[in-house]
Amino acid sequence: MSNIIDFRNITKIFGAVTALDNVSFSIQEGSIHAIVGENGAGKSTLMHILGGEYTPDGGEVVYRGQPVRLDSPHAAHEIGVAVVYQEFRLCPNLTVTENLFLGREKELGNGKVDWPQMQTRTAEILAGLGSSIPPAALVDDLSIADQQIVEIARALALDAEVIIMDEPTSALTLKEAEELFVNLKALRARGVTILYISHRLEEIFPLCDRISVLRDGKFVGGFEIADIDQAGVVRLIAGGDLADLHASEVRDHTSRQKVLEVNGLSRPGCFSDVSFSVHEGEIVGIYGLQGSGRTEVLETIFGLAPEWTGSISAFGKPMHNRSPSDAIRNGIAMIPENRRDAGIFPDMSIMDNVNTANADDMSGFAGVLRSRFMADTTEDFIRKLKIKTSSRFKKISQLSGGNQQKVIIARWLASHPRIVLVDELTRGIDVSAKFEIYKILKSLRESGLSILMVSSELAEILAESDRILVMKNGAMVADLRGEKRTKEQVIRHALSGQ
Amino acid sequence: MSVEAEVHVSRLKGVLTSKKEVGIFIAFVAIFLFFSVMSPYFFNVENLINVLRQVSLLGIIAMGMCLVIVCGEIDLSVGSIYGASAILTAVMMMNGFPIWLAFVLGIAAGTLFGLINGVLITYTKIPALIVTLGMMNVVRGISLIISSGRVVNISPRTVDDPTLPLFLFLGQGKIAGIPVMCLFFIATAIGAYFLYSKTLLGFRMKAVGGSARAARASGINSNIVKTAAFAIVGFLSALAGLLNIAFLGSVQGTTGQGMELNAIAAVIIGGTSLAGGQGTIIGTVIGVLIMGVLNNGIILLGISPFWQMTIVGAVIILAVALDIWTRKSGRS
Repeated sequence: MSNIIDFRNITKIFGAVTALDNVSFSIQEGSIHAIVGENGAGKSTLMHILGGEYTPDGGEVVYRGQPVRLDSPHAAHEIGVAVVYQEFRLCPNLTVTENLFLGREKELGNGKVDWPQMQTRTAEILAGLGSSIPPAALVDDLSIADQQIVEIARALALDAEVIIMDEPTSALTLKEAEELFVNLKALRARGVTILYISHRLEEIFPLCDRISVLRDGKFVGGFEIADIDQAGVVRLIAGGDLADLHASEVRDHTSRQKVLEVNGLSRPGCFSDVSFSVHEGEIVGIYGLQGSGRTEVLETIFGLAPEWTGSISAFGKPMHNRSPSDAIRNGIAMIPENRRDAGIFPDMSIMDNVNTANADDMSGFAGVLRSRFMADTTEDFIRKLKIKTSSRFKKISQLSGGNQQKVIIARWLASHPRIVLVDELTRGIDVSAKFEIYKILKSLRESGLSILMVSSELAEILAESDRILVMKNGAMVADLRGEKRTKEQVIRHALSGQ
Repeated sequence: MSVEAEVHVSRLKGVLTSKKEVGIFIAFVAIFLFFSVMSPYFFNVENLINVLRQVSLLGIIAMGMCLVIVCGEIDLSVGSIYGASAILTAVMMMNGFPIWLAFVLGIAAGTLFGLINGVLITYTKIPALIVTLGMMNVVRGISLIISSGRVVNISPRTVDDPTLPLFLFLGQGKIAGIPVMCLFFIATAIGAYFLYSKTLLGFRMKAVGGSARAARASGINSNIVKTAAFAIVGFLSALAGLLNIAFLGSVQGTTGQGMELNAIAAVIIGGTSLAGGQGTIIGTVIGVLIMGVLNNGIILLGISPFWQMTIVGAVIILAVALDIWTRKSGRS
């Protein structure tokens, strides 16, 4: 098979940062080609160059043997390259058909807009993807998985020969991801080339034909998927041996004092009759598919849910949090799922971001801020949590995802919690930062804190938690400990409920 | 470079790029120098104090408007509150209320209007633009009803209270050559700066405007924070309204029309983001001064005063364009 794309000595520089340094490798036509690397390794930059969003400072992109100039997304579309970004670029207020032909409305109608024909063409493309989305449906009314199919359909409507998928499964359930993989394989059979960017090695291996690894903006290796194993890829990504990344030290703390007890907790439309307890110094994982009610349970405990029944008690006393500020007063902290929307204050400094949940400590008489205290607290956490920054005055949005999450962890530690609820703590965070965050979790456990952790990553749940609760369709279906705490058990309960 | 030195350099860089006031201050100095060169009458103490007096009332309101905008909201009713609280106070004075009581009740009325804005916006979730647009008309209507559309005059003939000269002193008097009105503006600016930069309330305004969801998850009650901002701007609008009547000795139903847009303009020129979450009191003060200097300079240069609005409008667009441009170049 011939190469459809050759990257030749691609270099891209942003200010003082070299995002891509002399990167060269090739993509075979009709293959699914994985590109992996930590956040900041240069994957996205490379994709933006291929998608026409950035122009390289050095080197060239060769398409079917011809050097091409990709100076706009339109130019990329012209040669047959389309990108499906992690954050979809669809207009939610328009229909599927309108989105598919946005900007090219007149193409099919020879100069006038021929909606019926576009509708037919849309239906054809969707049928080719095995989807039954009505072409006239509003994008806003579709599920995330269906919106992604619309994005892929749009690429096909452009007659794309190369489709770039950026972290396509990050918002999908297991089942939806499986359907996506079937679709991608079908596209490959039709001769479409797919560039697949993902953190999730376990899905890359069964799906992809080749894999390229980037680290710190450099190309560090390319392999046929059969010639390398996961451990080998992890070593290349991290640039060292991280064998102990998932070395778990499971403990049985169930004989210790119960710090959190939930009994018969129900929230209409979300979950019902959920009961469990968390012991002192324990990390309890909650696993379940998206929509199983995991996040909603945490929200309810933290006072973010308006209506619920059942009982929650903390440290032996009944607890009824009507708002997060009640929860904070009761020694509960929560690190929410969506860091960008619900975690960070993007325009505030690291210091300000650390000091948002500890009002009683950071302000004194008449609400006057104690700036010395705020600074000391921040410096303390920058040191302890190894937050990489040149100063505490830097805006949090200028940090990498991993360091932003450390700032959020610092915020909650500063509120002196005794129970910490965490939701998808390491989503979108690169491998070595994840490793550091796991170390922080372990050290919190040492200091007697209890942690209730929701995660979609099975490996993370298995490695980090002492006990695993499994939820399915709003019910708590398993409490796995000791020998039962295995991958097979967790998956079986999450899928079948028994 | 030593680690210590590197830290200093990066802090200095941070200060220069993060302090939005630097750019707007340079623009102010440029405008100031331009008029100083072009007009022999511009750069003298008397004229400059005059400029400061002319913008003092706008400045007092702009301080509150800045806080509201930092919360990610907007208030279109400040001009109406400015007029109505003055009329209420004047009518009370003429009907035999002691001046101090009329003064306190006038301020309280303005604060109450602000509180109503805040409560409606936060608890009913109606957008601030709509609530305050409605309040702008409701409160304006109250002014017109009370005044029956006539000019209300405050003078020893209409108000029988020996402390009237003291009240008028607030608007017309000078201390050490500086109009008392300006002292009110300066005090308000210092108070607003302290509130915004040094207190929990100001900190939380920034947080609520920056990310409502993250603020909620941090245990911040954004309803209280926003309502406080609206109450503060209501209070300051009433204060400015009372200083205005003390200055002019009269007020009418239409007093303060358009004040809201001037206040918003000063805040925006000063570099505060309409999106909320980031604002600057110092920038707002400079924004207010720029508006004053432009108006004054245009008159001194003999340009038709009809040009004022056009020029101020252009400056607003230019200021925001400059801000966006400098932030872009600062990032890459």
